[in-house]
Amino acid sequence: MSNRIVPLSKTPKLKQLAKLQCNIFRTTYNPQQLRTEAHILRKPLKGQIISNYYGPADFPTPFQIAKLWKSDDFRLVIEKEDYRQRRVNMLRKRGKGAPTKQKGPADAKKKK
Amino acid sequence: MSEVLKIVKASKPMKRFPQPVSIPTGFLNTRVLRDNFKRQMAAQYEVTTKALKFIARNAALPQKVRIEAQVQLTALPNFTRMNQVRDRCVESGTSKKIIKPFRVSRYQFRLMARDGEFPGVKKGVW
Repeated sequence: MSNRIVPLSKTPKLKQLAKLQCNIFRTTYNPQQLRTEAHILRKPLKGQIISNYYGPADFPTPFQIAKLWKSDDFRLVIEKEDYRQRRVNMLRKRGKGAPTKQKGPADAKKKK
Repeated sequence: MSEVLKIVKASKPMKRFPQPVSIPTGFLNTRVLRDNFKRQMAAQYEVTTKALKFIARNAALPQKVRIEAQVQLTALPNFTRMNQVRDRCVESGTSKKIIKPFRVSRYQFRLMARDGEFPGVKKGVW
């Protein structure tokens, strides 16, 4: 009588035991040790985290909030926009502003 | 809050991509938009991809089914894959030197931390 350990799946009685064990603990009975790759399904889903990286799509912008609270005697100042407008006004006063948009097609020269 | 919700609607889905997705608020850039699209698609196709992958790799299933699943998996467009997304800076849109817990690039992190926008973060002096 050899004293080496018999694998669970070898003898029929132990096979039955393994099957019962799997049934009780809700694991898959896999006597041939096949690769079922259950770990793919076991991993938690990460799509929600990945798709929310840039923040929610319906988050109000500063402009929308300013528009919401606007009244005759109250105005919200958006610092960035305020700075931009003041800068543009200063440039225009000095004649250094952007040129005005041309109306109509500008391809009169090309036709010649 | 309800008044805000009335005015603020999710932006219109964009037509430039194969499937319409909403535009994020915050810094916008062509590359940010593209990455946002990939993120939405990866999230949408996540379950499908996982199921196909499981079927394709499962040795207990018949060979024909496995090959079919593998073919379907490879036939999916690239934008549905998780490894296509890249973390970009939320403030400036750059993809390099991102400090991941804060989602910003190192320079933007410095500016924002200096302004005290990250609670608990302060300049190390010793």
